[in-house]
Amino acid sequence: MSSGHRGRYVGCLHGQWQWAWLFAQTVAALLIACCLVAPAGAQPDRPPSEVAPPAEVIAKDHPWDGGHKIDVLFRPSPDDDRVTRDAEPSATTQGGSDANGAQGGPSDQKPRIAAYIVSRAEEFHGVYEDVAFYVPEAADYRDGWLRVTVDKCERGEPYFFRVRAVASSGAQSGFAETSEAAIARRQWFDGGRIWMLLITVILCGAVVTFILIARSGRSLRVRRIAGLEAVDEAVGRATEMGRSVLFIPGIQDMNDIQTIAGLTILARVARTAAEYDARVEVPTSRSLVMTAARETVQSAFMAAGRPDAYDPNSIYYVTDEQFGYVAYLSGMMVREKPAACFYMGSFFAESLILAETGNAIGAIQVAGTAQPAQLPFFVAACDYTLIGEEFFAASAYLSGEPDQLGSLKGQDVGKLVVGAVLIIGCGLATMAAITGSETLEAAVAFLKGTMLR
Amino acid sequence: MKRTVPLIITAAGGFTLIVAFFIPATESWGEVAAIWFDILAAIAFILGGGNLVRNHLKKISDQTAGWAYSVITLAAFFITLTVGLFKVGARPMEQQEYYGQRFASLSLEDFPLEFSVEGTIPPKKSGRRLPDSVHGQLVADAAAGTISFRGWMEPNQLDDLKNYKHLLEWQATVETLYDKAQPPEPLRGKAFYHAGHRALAFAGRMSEFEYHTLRELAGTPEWLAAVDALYEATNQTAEIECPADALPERFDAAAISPDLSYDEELQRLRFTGPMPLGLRDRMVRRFFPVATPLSPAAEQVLVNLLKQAGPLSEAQIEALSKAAAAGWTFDQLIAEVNRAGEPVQVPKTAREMLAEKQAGATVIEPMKTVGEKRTLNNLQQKFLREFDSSEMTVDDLVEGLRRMGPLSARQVAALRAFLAKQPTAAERNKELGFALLRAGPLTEEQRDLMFGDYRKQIRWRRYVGRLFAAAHVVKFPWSGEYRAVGTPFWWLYEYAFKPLTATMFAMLAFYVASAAFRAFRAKNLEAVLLLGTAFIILLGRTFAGVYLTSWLPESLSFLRIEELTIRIMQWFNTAGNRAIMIGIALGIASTSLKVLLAVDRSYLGTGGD
Amino acid sequence: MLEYVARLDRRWIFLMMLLAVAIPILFQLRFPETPTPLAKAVFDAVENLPPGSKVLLAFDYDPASEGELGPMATAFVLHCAKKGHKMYFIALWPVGPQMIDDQIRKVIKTDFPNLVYGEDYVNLGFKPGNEGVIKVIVTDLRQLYTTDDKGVNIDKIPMMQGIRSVQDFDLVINVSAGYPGTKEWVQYAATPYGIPVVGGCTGVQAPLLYPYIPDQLPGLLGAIKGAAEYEKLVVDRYDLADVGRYLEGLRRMGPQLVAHMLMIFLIIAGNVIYFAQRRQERYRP
Repeated sequence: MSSGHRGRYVGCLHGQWQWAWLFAQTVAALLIACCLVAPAGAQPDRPPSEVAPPAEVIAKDHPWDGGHKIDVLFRPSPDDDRVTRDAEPSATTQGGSDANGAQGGPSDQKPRIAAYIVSRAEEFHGVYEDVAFYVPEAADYRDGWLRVTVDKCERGEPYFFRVRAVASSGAQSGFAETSEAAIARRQWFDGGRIWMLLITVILCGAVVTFILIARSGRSLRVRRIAGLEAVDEAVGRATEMGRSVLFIPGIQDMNDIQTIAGLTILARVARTAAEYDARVEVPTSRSLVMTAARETVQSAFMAAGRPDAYDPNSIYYVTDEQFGYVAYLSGMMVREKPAACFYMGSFFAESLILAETGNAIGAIQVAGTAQPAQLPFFVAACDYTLIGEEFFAASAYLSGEPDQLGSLKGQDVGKLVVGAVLIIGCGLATMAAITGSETLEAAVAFLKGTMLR
Repeated sequence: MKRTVPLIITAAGGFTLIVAFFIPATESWGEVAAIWFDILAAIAFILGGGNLVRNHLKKISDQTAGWAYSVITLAAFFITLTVGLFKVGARPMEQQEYYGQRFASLSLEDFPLEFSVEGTIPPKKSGRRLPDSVHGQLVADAAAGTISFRGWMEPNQLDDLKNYKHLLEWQATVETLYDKAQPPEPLRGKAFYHAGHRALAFAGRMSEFEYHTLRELAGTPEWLAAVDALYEATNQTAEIECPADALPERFDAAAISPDLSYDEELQRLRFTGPMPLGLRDRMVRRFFPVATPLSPAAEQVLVNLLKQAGPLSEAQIEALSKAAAAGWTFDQLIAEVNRAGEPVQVPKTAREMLAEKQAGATVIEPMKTVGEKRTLNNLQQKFLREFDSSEMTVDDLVEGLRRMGPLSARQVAALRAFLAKQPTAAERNKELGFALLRAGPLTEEQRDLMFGDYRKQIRWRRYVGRLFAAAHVVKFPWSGEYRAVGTPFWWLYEYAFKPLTATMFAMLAFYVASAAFRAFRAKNLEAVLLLGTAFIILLGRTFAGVYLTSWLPESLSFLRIEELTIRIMQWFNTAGNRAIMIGIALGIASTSLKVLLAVDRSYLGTGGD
Repeated sequence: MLEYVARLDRRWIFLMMLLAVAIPILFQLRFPETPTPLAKAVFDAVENLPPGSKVLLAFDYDPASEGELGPMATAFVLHCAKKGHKMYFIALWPVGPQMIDDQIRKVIKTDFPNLVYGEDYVNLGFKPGNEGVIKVIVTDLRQLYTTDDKGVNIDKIPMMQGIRSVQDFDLVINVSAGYPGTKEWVQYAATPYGIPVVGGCTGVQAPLLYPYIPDQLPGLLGAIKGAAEYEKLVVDRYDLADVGRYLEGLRRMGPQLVAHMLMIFLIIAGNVIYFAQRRQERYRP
């Protein structure tokens, strides 16, 4: 991690940080409440002990989905020994095709019913196709019903269902069937993603909130990032030595956010180079990046008051192929010996080749990437490295605009929220493991299986 | 304005993707937005290619340092582009070329035959249309209560229509329509209409009778012109030079096909009409029969012949015996034929199932069992075991088996398929020859004995291939694979691209070593911990680590290096990576939001507007 | 002397590395391999499927990473062929189809000539779009794949009957060299739809995928070590220890061991020089 002032955030909660802490506490409280309240349910019934098919079947549209699922509810076969008064109800049962034969019931006897087969047809008494093999667990029995969610239904089309019980011996019972068609309908919102939406709103809300706070005039400070401070030094060195500055914006295309972050830094490097009258060379691996980089560099030169010095031929396309690109770069670096090398963007295996070649020619190297696998190579071989978030913070850091600095603060609130969730989740899971409390276990399952899914 | 438009496009595209994630009705918008990026990137490739060519041409014309590399770069670029784009040397794709058929142009509108049945097309509430395979061919007349199909329906169209809606009544209607929408009986399996290619097609040579039968189907000028063109196309004769010694022994053109002939005087092999793939394969195998299992007596005869032609060691005899035993056996063939004689489950037709439903059945099974169990009787088995391909053809074998007992069509098909998969006697002898060579040397005479027939087979196959190519009119020359083995593109890939990229990747090993020597210094406590961890992982990922700590007792097995490696990776590495990934994910989310909201516009340049 | 070693030309180090890799290869040094739990989990994922199961093999690598990933791809195809699984090949990298062709040629056409294309294995080829492809095919495979790699309509391929999406497969095996790769398969297939995914990846990528183990990714083969472990499991199970082309991973572990020893030596040497120089400077008048 590049050096910086540590400890600035801790114990210094005034101004906007009070709001942040309050915000995080509120979120944490909501999370705890949801986890503990969510898993509620009723006790299942104990069925009669005779061999028989399921008693009743109902099929209805699965709520809050894209119109591809239908819930099939049926009363278990009276021979199903797993229905007892002690069974705890659980969260929503998903499609049975991926349920494995977990015999979770409190009874020590092997249940006579091992599974249920759900079949589907598009017409009543038509050709039924098996669509689910459902092995229920003890916790699945709720209010005397079992539920299977059948996926891959065509929206708006009527379906009829049959359910058969399968005994441990493999024998199948007769069927219970629906007589009315069930139709999968599309709701306007995908309910399975509600928590994702909530989390998105919280995180994006934090960013937007702090942007607005910053616009209101409050000053925001960001710690020093050595790699970005070194831009001037590197470009100056290149000017003194009369050699060029090499800037590599990664090997991914413009749809990668790292490439955009890289171009942001390119603007600053190009502006500094224009002021110092140094030559910037930007070989790119993608054509769109070449086009965008040309715009960026041209604007930077104009902003520095040196539009005449801009040379579009210094930004050019090499090849899309990863190793062809790095072969060109290695050869070019060894021949032309740029004095400063910037590697800012998304890199893969070529990172070490570039960094070592730059080291061999004695260039000052500044790297920045959000590829965790490549960070060690850059840290080992480069003079300065921007790690992950520092790389994304570059735009805000270099511009110093209040809007952008505000977004950095909002990002930090996001980290606080994530940290709070981690602590709460780990705490709950640890307590559940120690105490064996079913409430806590259900809370952990809800947190993992529903909220964070 | 210059920056406003891109900002609007960015925001619109980004928010569309976000909304599409949560609102199902807008899912397709997100997919469209993503596809637009791919289209732009593809177009941008042309920009990049143009820039590449321009830069290198400039370097060459200015003769700047290293201009020779530019020449190589441009040459490689253009050669690869040409051979890849134009699929130089790639044969047309077998599955798309319609080998064995000739086409005559006939649009769907000009196809005069339309077949109708009573029924309606069931609507789909999801809005799904009729399958693309029947596009333009299937129409419904609601007033008359009929469904019409223009053209001759193909099996895949039938399947697509049946899968369109799983209602028995609809599927039964489609089946009835399929049965009606076929060419007349004499032309079944020979005449086709490919709506997608706008072509009337015929497989094989069209006889006079078939020609008149086709003409009589309709009288429109377009139809008659197409039939005439097709008749002419299917009666063209292709010929190749073929010396008499290239012909197999007992060559009999008439036994293969009436369309095949050999002109002994001019030494030309001729074929009239397009040659089907099956006929091409039969032409080779007909005269090079399948290898039957080598009995001990036959094996001994072969050994004796080899010994007459030269010395043969014990090791070679043993190798020959082992190789001969590796082939197929009559027991396998009998088992295969008996398996084919078992009753088999076939899908019921929709009409059968509809009849069951209308009769009141509530449980309709989609499959039925057909056929009665048939196994080869003792006489048939004995006859089969005596099968000698040098004296009896497969047709004679089938005839003989039929005379000795019942034989179903499935059993005949299984028998033919089994034998067709086996090597010919020439190929078997070639394999035996290689087995002998691996065990010891062979004289020239011995090689001729073992490989002579195979050489003839290869030679004959080459001539058959040439005749096949001459008899075929290429319809889709660019349907082949650009990277088919043997094409120039494949050569460039195998012998230039692959070694070069592998070399560049391999350089990492060297650079890691030099980086390790130069940069991994224990300057402080964290660096010491890092180096210690590195040593454990480096050792733990090899046998050396396992060996070094294998002496530790079971109670201390957690201290073994391979266990430590696993713990380090699972706990420390995972925790660290999770933290970095969370930070990066938040950074991406924040940066993306800034870009979408146009808070961060620096990637567009630092201009004033 | 100290100065000379401290400023040692890196080409000497390159030479040492060359020898460290070449000598084990030339002398065919092989070492025993003990499979780790992760490799066993991958092996079990394939082995425990009933014969005839549908397995999607996504080969997302290129010739550059063939050294690390080729042996594990071979072992995967061999294992699936031995178990009688139906193999469906796809690629998200443009040169992936060539990798698939290589494996089909090396394994299936050589040792399993009885397997029929279209009935036992099929190559669906490459589709551009990176993770966008995964996102579409997890719900509707036929929207993107209308033909196989050779242009045959997939409706005419017997083993494609009934396959509508990736959810119809029993297992997804991904061999990944970067992006798009195992991470994307986990994010867009395993996590949202519970599709079982196992994979193999390069050594550099492996640490990034550990967070997904074992819930979303039951097992993972990391680099050539993982390939060697998996190969060992497969060849032991099916008695193929004398078939050289299925032991490539084990063969490449010889140079790996020597190279790792060299790395350790270089690190130690570098630190010895560093501390010696520091002491020299401290005591210099």
